Amino acid sequence: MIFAAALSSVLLVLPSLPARAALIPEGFINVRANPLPKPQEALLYRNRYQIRSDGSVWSPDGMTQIAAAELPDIMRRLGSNQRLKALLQIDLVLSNSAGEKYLTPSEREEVRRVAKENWAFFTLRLRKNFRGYFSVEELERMNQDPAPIAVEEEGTAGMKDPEPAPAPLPEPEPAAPRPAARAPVPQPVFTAGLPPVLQPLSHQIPQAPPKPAPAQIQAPAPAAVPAPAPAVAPPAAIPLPVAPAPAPDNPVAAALPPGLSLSQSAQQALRQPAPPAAALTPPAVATPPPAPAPPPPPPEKPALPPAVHEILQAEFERWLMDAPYGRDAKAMLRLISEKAPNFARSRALNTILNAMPMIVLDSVRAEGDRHGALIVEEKTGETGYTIALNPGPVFYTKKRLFFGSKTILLSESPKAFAAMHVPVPELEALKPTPVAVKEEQGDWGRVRTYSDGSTRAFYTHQQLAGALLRQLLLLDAKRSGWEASRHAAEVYARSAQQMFYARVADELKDDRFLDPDLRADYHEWLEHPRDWRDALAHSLSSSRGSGFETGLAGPESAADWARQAAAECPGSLVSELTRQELARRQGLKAAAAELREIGLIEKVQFESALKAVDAEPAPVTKSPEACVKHWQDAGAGLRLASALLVELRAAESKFRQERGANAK
Amino acid sequence: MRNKLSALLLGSLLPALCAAQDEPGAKPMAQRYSPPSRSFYCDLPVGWRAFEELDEAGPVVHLLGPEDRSAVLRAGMDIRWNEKGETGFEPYKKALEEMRRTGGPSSRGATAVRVMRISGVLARVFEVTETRRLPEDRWPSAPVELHRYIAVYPSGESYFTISLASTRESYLEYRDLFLDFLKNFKPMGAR
Repeated sequence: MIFAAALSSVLLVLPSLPARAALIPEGFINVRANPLPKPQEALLYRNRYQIRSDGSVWSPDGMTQIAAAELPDIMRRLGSNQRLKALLQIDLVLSNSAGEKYLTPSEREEVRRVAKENWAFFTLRLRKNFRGYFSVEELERMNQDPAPIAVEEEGTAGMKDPEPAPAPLPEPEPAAPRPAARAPVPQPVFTAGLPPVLQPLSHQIPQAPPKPAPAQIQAPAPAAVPAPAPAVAPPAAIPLPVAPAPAPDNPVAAALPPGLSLSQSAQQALRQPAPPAAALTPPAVATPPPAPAPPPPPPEKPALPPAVHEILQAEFERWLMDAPYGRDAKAMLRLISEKAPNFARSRALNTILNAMPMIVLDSVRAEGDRHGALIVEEKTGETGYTIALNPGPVFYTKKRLFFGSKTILLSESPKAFAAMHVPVPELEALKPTPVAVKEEQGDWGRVRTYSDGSTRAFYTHQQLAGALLRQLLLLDAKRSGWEASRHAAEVYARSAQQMFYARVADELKDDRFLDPDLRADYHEWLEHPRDWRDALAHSLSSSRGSGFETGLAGPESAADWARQAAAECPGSLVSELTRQELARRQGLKAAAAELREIGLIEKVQFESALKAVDAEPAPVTKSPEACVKHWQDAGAGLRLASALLVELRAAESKFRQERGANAK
Repeated sequence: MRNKLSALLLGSLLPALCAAQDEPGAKPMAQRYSPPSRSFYCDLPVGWRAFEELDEAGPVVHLLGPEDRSAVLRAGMDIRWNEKGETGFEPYKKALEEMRRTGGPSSRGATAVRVMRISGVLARVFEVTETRRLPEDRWPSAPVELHRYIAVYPSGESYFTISLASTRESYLEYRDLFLDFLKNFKPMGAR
């Protein structure tokens, strides 16, 4: 009887197998029909990919079925991650040891264990580096798995610093509750050509959360929250043991990387209502002399700064150990975590965790920016961010017979000169592989001098960390929408940067880690804060300071100004774009004139540059609908900027009071 | 279609606007201006833009004018109200000393203080110079000498500070404008 039942069930199941396999559309992976090699299958499991009972393979969030054509890329990526994770573990062992040559037996065994477990993912070069840890027999056994082709070895051999890949495209929140959908794991770029100890290492990269709508982080008016797109339900299938994470109660809590939790106070803060819209007054207009009346005190807005979750230093430190950043970037992030003022620290660290920008020390990518640039890359609907920090300037000094000399600071990036339509000046320091005749310590730190007298300096890592903090805050402004007021965003970020420098200087009891220019700026902020703030408005509003719309700068009147601009669409946007474009062109022309004045370009080249700048095509304008949306978004961002300035004022006031008290 | 028209409009505007350079020092006609806080009114030169903000030191109105030849600094005025009892308030004599403190990495220098009668009030006027490398964040960057006219305009124990910043290269062109501005500057109410 039992046998008959079993036979009938087998007969029932057998015909269904090909039918189920046939359910998988053409072009998608079917591991039943084409089994994967064991290491690959293990790797998919380890990275939470779902291999379902029908043989199909799904992304970790269970939303996307993996096509066969995508598999090589995915395996290469996951393999890289696994390799980096292994190297991190080995790096930790070696860092804690007395040196690779002096490993204790237990340390050596630990290195062997990690290398052995991950041998399948090691490239040929890595295997060569680690073969000394194994016997010939062991190597023969382990090398049965072919080494992955090290495509990245060729592509990234020249990289100076490991970088995480751009943040993955955040997914829209589903309308109905569902198991937490995790975005794909961001991909670190790595260099396999370095010695093992110096390899950029990665661990399980915290999965980037869905892109938070502005309201999720900043608690602005509910109207600003876009309607969520309906989720596409995946086809029903039986998931194998890879269990999705439980649905989060709080979207911000879900945004936290594994290992970080949201404090009670932060959760309460998130539940607070949106800051009330400011009582606005019309922008500056000509008025007749008003009758004398007691002047009202400047209205203090009861605006609340948007809440961000606190990240404890230990938690961040733990995250940082496995983060896909190089040693330089990690050192800077650690310093930011330790020394940034509280209000900016939370915001900057949350930006790191949520946006995972690449951080590179690369003067070429920083182009025309003296300290650092924020680069936004849009690729196939995904937005990635790169913070390119400039490691140092190039100097050129023109000596005059009777009137002393003039020193100009130049970019090393050919693109910066191409933007001005001028050739790269013939200076030794600007050549691709310059050879220095001497290197010495000076006011600008370590300075290299070249045969033609041009020099090159290098910023300290404390100074670069301040520049990174500022760029992270500007990135937060961009992602949260409050960059609508460029003036507010810059004031906020630069003030935080100065407070950071003050804390570092206090610890070092010396501010010479800053270059002379930045030191002058820091002293101005410290000793003449009003003058510093005024000078910032004057320099930022100039063409070479990139300019800003004064109508959007005053928190009292900006939202009203934006409303009025929305009513005047599309002309208002055309006018704003024209202003920006004019400032850009004027800035380029003036920069070219500066080069001409100091004799780095010829008159003909200068005149040709002016013509080329004028001949650049006009920017593309937007539709009237886009114009209205532009100003509506700006209005929401301006309310936020206003609240953040209130936060800054309180923090700066407290900082100065404490400093004054300490001085006494 | 609208997009194309907008693009055409923008394209046609650009060359004309590019040609219209700011002329520092040109004597512009003024128009009456009062900030949103209504703390004063003054004559705002035509073409200048204004905005008011509240910083750590208190309310400040920025009036922004034409930019200098190198396009690194926009000349302009900054009017601050320093009210007694507010956080960080310093009596104006002490504030004068602070503002006139010289030296430091930017080679700050200051002139002697002159007393000037403005709207029946005795104001203190002086000048400050310093050298900075501008632009601070872009290449190429070269040293620029900056100049500020500063007036401290007392109102009881509180006071306004009014300053006009420009490059040293063009500061003389703004001298009359600054004096005219002071003449027409009127605090509102009891101040």
